[in-house]
Amino acid sequence: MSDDRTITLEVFRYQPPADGGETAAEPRFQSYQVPYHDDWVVLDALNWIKDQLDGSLAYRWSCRMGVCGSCGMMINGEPGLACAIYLKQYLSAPGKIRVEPLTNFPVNRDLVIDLEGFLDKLDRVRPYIDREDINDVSQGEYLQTPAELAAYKQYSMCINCMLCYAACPVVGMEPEFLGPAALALGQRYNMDSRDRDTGRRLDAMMEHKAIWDCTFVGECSVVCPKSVDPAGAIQQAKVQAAKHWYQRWLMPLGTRT
Amino acid sequence: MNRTLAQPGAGDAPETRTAAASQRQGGAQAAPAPLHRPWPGAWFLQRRGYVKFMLRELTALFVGIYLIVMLAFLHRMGQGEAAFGGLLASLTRPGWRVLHALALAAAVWHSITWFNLTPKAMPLRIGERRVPDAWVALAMGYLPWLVVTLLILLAILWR
Repeated sequence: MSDDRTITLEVFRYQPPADGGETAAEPRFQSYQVPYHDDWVVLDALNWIKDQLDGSLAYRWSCRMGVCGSCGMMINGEPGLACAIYLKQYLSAPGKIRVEPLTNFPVNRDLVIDLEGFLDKLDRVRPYIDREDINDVSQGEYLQTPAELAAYKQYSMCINCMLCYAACPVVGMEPEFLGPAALALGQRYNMDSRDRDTGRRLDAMMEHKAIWDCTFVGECSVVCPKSVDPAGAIQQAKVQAAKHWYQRWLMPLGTRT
Repeated sequence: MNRTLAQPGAGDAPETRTAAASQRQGGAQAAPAPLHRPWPGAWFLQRRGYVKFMLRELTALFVGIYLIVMLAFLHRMGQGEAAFGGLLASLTRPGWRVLHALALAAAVWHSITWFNLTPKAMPLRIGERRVPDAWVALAMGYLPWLVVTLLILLAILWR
């Protein structure tokens, strides 16, 4: 299986200033020659570089099988999971692979992006079942029919890999935009039959820099490795939020949606 | 949820979260500020999907222009037959014919793209199964489109 073929990886390098230092080195691309194997993914190549050539290269990874969502990066300009993209598809053309940190995120070091902004956005959509009448454990589970589960299941498959943020031009132009994954997760709970305080979440999702900033480019759904379809979820949130807004004027005072 | 929003000094372990903010304020112990990369001006050329999106959005321009043409017709209609005929005649000039063709193409593309996107915003479920998107687009978009087009063609032919 192994042969003498190699493939070039051009890896984005950025070293932050050392402790107390003011100026960071300019970001640059560093080329590495990596042995080629048919069954190697980009992550295998990065691991080989780190083991054999350059231990200073920083990147995130964990599961190697597309469930942890850690290894999202730009691979020849496309957002992708490094563990899911084979070297094979780049061997003949263009013959080299350019690896960059995901766009639309601040870069901490090399391929490691800063996720703090996203984690704050996640908080804003109240991503949990919201209800005040919490059953005692002795009363058992909150039951749900298979149809009720099917209504939101697709939107619960997100692994927070951030590929959708890298593909979203609205995030690029408006960094405060809550973004595909957070809004899709909010909608996942809006559609959950066990949720009781959907109105409060919809209020948060209707604010500025939230669902109404989405222009339905749809690329978030194209790059999603889990077929979550955040673009669809956001459009459905728009429909639900509009209903919620009108209902407020139609329903008697004191009723809750 | 223990996590607090990123506010300098808030929370039990704010160092990493507020690193960027402290750095901007000249904090000595803070982690270095992350690198912000510039957003390209011609972003809409970067991906095929972006180009298609821009084309879809630009079709609205032609739809808007045609709306103004329709309003002009209504206006002229109120001024009598001669005024209406005058507008009709001026719209047959070559320059306008090019615009009509462009507007037709834009309107068709506008309709197709939005019909295809309808099931994303309004998915239909029967029990646990989601009705295929193509069926929804067909029932809500293409079939009514076909029926209305045929009715208009019939009306024109039987005039």
